[in-house]
Formats: sequence, C-alpha cells, structure tokens
Amino acid sequence: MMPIGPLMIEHRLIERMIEVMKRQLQEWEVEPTTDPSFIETAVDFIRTYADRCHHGKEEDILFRDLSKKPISGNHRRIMEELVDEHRWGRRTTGRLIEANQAYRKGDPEAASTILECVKALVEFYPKHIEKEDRHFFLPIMDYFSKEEKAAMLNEEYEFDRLLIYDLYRDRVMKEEERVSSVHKGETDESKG
Amino acid sequence: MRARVDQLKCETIGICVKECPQVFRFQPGSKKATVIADEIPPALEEKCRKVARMCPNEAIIIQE
Repeated sequence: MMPIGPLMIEHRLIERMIEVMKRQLQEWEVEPTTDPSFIETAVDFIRTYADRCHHGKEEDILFRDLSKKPISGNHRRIMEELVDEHRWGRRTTGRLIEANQAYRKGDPEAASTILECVKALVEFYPKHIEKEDRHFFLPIMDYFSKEEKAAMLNEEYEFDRLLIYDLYRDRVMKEEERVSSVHKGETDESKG
Repeated sequence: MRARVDQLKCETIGICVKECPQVFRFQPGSKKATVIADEIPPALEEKCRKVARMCPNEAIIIQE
C-alpha cells in the first residue's frame, strides 16, 4: 500500500462522521436547539481522529518528507493551503468547544455559535478531503521512491500504535493531577 | 466496457465507491470494493476510467 492509502481510508470515516453531523445540523436548523453530548462526541472525533491521528500523520510524516523534495510551485502552494486549513479546523473546533461549555453552563446565546461552527466544519471537511484525494495525494507520490514510500507507510503504522498510548497516558496524567489536587485540598483543610 | 476490482490489491480505500457508487460497492464483510454492473453504462465509462486512475493501489482493472 502507498502511504496515502491509510490516509484515504481515514477520509472515508471522516466523511461518515461529517454526514452524521450534517444530518444533526439539519434537524437543529428546523427546530433551533443543540445537544451538548452530541457536540462532545463530534468534538472528540474531530480533535482525536481527524486532527491528531489523521492530520498528525499528514503533517508529521507525509508533508514533512514532501517538503524536503524539490516539488512544483503548485504542489507547494497546495501543501501550504492544507496546513492552513488544518489550523483553521483547530481554531473552529476550539470555538465550538468554548461555545458548548458556555451552553452547558446555561448561556442560550452560545447555541448560535455552536450551529455556526458545526455548519462551518460540515462545509469545510468535504472540500478539504476532495482537494487531497483528487488533486494532491496521487500526484505527489511521484516524488518518492518505492523505499521512501514504504518507510513513510511504516512510520504511519508506528504513529497510530503510539497514538493510543499517548491518548490514554494523557488521560491518566489528567486524572492523577485531579486526584492529587483533591487530596492536597483535603490535607490543607485538615491542617487548617 | 467492463471493470473489475483486484481483490488482492484492494485495501478498502473507497475512493471508487465514493466517486462512482453506481458501479462500485463495498462488499459486506471484507469491505473490499466490487463492481455491481456487468457492463459499464456508456455515461459512466469516463468516470470509471478516472476512478481507476485515482485508486492508489491500481486495483481497478478496466476492460475496454
């Protein structure tokens, strides 16, 4: 398999989640409301799978190696656009998280920001994926030798293997900090 | 024109199913793509050729 294979398989799953978000958005537009639990699920998918796992492999492996090659101006421009789009996605997801938290805390005004962010993401991802699938991934494979492609593919597999460890290590660290701060608070109280 | 999917080369990437669902489908179970039309309708021939070029595994075989 070429190193773009796993990335294209991931595209298909991202498209399915975006379709779910699109349908949910259509319901919310008919009857203006939102669902914080659904937003949390969508945000987790976008942040963890679409961004950390998928965009992570693109930026840390494929684009990293591509940028070392004497690529055409057009391919360099598209690569820079794609990286900018990843950044835009992160900012929009960040806004969505903030709005969802505000909504959970009782701010009804946050609902319009939530809908706006979901709509923006639902419109963004299909175009972004199309640009990669149709106009970028295959042509850029010509810059790499068979051995280089195999090395990138192996690195992608390793990336995925480490990602699951990193994700759960981060969660454990977060819980350790939370428990420590609770315990510290209890100790301080008993001293006082 | 006819098309088929090399089952050894197909890695479930799905660009064919996405781009031309009238001709390509995922199989239940293996999730590998397969062709659901005996003869490719003339209106879809060019699309199938394009999809074959898009498959990074070159798993789609076109028989003119």
